[in-house]
Amino acid sequence: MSHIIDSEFYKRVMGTEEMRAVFDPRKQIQSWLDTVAALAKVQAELGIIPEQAATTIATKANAETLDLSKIVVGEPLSSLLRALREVCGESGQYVGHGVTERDVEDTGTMLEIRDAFGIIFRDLYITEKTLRQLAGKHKMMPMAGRSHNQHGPPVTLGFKLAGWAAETRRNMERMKDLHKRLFVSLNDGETDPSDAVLKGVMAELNLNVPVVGSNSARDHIAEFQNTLGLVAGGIGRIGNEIYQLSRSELFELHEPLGPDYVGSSAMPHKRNAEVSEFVVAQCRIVQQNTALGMQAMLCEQGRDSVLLDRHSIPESCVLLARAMESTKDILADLDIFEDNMRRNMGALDGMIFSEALMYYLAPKLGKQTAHDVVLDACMLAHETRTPVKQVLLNDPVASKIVVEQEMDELMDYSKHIGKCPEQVDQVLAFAEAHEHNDADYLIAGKT
Amino acid sequence: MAHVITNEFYKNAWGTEEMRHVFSARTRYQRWLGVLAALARVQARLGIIPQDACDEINRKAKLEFIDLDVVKRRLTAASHTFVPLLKGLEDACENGAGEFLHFGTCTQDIQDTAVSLELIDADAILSRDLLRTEDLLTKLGQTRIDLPTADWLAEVRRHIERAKDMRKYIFVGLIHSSTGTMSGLVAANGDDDKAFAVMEGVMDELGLNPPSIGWSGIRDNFGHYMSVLGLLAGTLGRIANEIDRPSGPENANGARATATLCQIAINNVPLGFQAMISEHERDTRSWRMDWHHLSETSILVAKALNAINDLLEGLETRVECSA
Repeated sequence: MSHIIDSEFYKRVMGTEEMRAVFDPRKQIQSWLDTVAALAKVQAELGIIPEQAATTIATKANAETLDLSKIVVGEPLSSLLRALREVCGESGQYVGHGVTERDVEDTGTMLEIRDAFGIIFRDLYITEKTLRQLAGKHKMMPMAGRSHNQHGPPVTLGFKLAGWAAETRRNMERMKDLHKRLFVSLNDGETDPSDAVLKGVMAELNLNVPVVGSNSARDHIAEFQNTLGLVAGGIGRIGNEIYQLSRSELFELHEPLGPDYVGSSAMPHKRNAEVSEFVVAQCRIVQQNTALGMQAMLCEQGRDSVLLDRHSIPESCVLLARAMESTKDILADLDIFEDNMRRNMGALDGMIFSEALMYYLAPKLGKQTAHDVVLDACMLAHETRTPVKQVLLNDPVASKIVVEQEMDELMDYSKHIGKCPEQVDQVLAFAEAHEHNDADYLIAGKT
Repeated sequence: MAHVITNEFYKNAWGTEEMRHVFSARTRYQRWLGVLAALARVQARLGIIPQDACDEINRKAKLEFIDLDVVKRRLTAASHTFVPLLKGLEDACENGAGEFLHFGTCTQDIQDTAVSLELIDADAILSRDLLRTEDLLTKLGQTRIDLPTADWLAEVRRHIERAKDMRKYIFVGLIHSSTGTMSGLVAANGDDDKAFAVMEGVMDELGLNPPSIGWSGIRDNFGHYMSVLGLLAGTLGRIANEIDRPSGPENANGARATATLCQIAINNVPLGFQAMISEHERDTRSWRMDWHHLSETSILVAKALNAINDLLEGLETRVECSA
C-alpha cells in the first residue's frame, strides 16, 4: 500500500481502523448495492416493479457473494450493476430501474460521509468533555502568557484549556449547522423531488430529499470538507501548543509517553512530543484538501467533481480521525509540570509584570508616560540583566514614586491572572447551554 | 499599486469600489480610531477615565486630526503596526487626554475588533447582493427553462442560510488585554473591578457580541468567514462556467473572468484554516495572514457576485426583448 494512510507499517499512526473501514472499497460497493436494493424495495411497494424482483435484488445485492472480479477499472459501478443483473436472472432488468448511475454513486458517497460525520462528532464530543474537566480543574494555576513567543501577563492553565474547549464546542455547533444541509442525496435533476420513489428511497436510507434535483450542486459536500478544515484548525492548534510547550527549555506540558517509548535512535535522552507533531501534520493536509472540495463545485455539470471527492474525502477523514484519536489519548493523560510553569514565569526577572507596573505608575505619571518609563526600564533590565524592580528603584524619575514593598506585593503571579477563572466559567456555561442536543449527533449514521 | 485588485486600469474588473472601501487603508485606520473612541466613552461612563479626556479623545479620533506623515515615519522606525497611529492620536489630543487612550487594552484588541467590524460590512454587501441573485434567478426561472436556474437558486439560498449561521461565530469583538485574560482592564481599573463591564460596553457600542473567552490566539471565527466565502465562490464559479459554454446562453462575456476570480478566492481559503494553528496567546504569523486573505478574498468575491448578477440581468433582458 503506497499511500501513507494505508501503509502496512504506518497506517496506525496515519489513520484509524474505524475510519478506514468507513471508506473500505468493499463497503463502498455494498453502499451502492444497498442503494439499488432500497430502490427496488420502494419500487415494489409502489407496484412499479414485481415484488419478486425486489426480493431477488435484495438477496443478491451482497458484496460478499457477488463476483467482484467482474468490476472493471474506469467503470466500477456500471460493471458492478452488470454483475448484479446477471445473477438476478429475470429480475436483473429491474436493477437500478429509472435512475442514473450517478444517483447511485452519490447516494453511496453520502452514506459514507454520514458514518464519518458520526465518528468526527463523537471525537469532538469526547475531546470537549475532557477539556472542560481539565479547564475547571486548573483554572487557578498560573503560567506564562505568551504573545509573539515572548512573555505577556500570566494566564492560567485552565484558561488555555478553556480556549481549546471553546473552539472545540464551536466546531461541534458548526457540525450541527452543517447537518441541516448535508444529508441529502442527489438525483440527476430529471426526478421531481416530490416523486414517491425518491422520497421512499431517501426514507429507506435515512437521508433527506433535496429541494431540487441536481448532479452538479456540490456545495454541501464542499461545506463538509471545509468543516473538516475548521475542525483540523482547532485540533491542530492543540497539538501544536502541546508540542511547543514540551520544549526542553519550557517543559510545561507533555504528551504521555508509554513504557516502551523510544525518543531517538541516536540520542537516548529524547522525549519527543511526536504524536502531537503528527497531529499537526495531519491537520495541515486536511486543511489543504479543502480547496479540492470547493474546486469540485466549479466542475461543469458535476462531471469531474466526483473524482476530486474520491481523493479528498477519504484522505481527509482518515487523517483527521487519527489526529482526533491521538488528541483524545494525549488529553486523557496529559503530563502537566506546574513547577516548570512557575519557574518559567520568572525567566525575565519580573518583567512579566510590566503591564501591572505600568498601571501602578499610571495614576502618578499618566498611562502613556508610565508606558514609556516602564519600557525604558525594561530595555535597561534586558541590557544589564538586572531585575526590572531594581532598575525602577535606581531610576531618577521612577524611584521618587515607587515603593519597594508595594512592588513586592504587586509582583505576585496569582494576582495577575486577570479574569481567567471567570472566563473559564463562561466557556463552561456556554457549553452547558449547548450540549442538550449533542446526543442527536453522536450516533453514526443517524440523520 | 502593484496588486491587480488595486491596479489603476484593472481594479474594477477584479473588485468593486464598495468592497475595496471596506478594507481600504484609511477606512481601517479610522475604524481603529473608532474602537479607541468607543472604549473611552465606555470607560468615562464607568468612571474609569475623566469625561473631559473622553470628550477630547472622541473629538480627535478622526484621521483628519492625525499627522499621517509622522505616522508613516514612525511605522518604519518602530516596526509596530499600531503604536504609531496611537501616538498620532495621542499627539492630537490636548490637555493630557492622550494619557487615557487605550486604557487597559492591547494592540490586538483594537485591530481584531476592527476586523470584525470590517466583516460585518463585507457580509452586509455580499448578503445584499446574494438576495439580488436570488431575485434574478427566480424571475429568470420563469422563462429560461434552458438554464439550471432552480439548481442555482437552491445553492444561492443555502449560501444565504450559511451566512446567517456564520454571524453568531464571527460578529464578536475582542477587548481582552495582552494575553486575553483582561489583566490590563483589571489593572487599569485599580481595585474597582469593571473589566467585564468595559468589554461588554464596547461590544454594545460597536454592535458586536461579547465572546465567552479572549480569542487573540483562537482564529476559528475568521477561518469560518473564509470558508463561507470559498463556498460562495464555488457557486459563482459554477454559474459562470455553465453560462460560458458553447451550447450556453447568448451573453457569456465576462463569465470566464468571473470563474478566475472564484478560483483565486477558493485558493485563499486554506490560508484562513492554516491561520487557526496559532501559537500561545498571540501569534502574528497567523494573525498577519488575515491582512492578506480576508480583504483580498472579500474583494474578489464581491466582484464575482456583481458580475454574475449583471450577467443574469443581461440574460433576463434578452428574453424579454425577444418575447
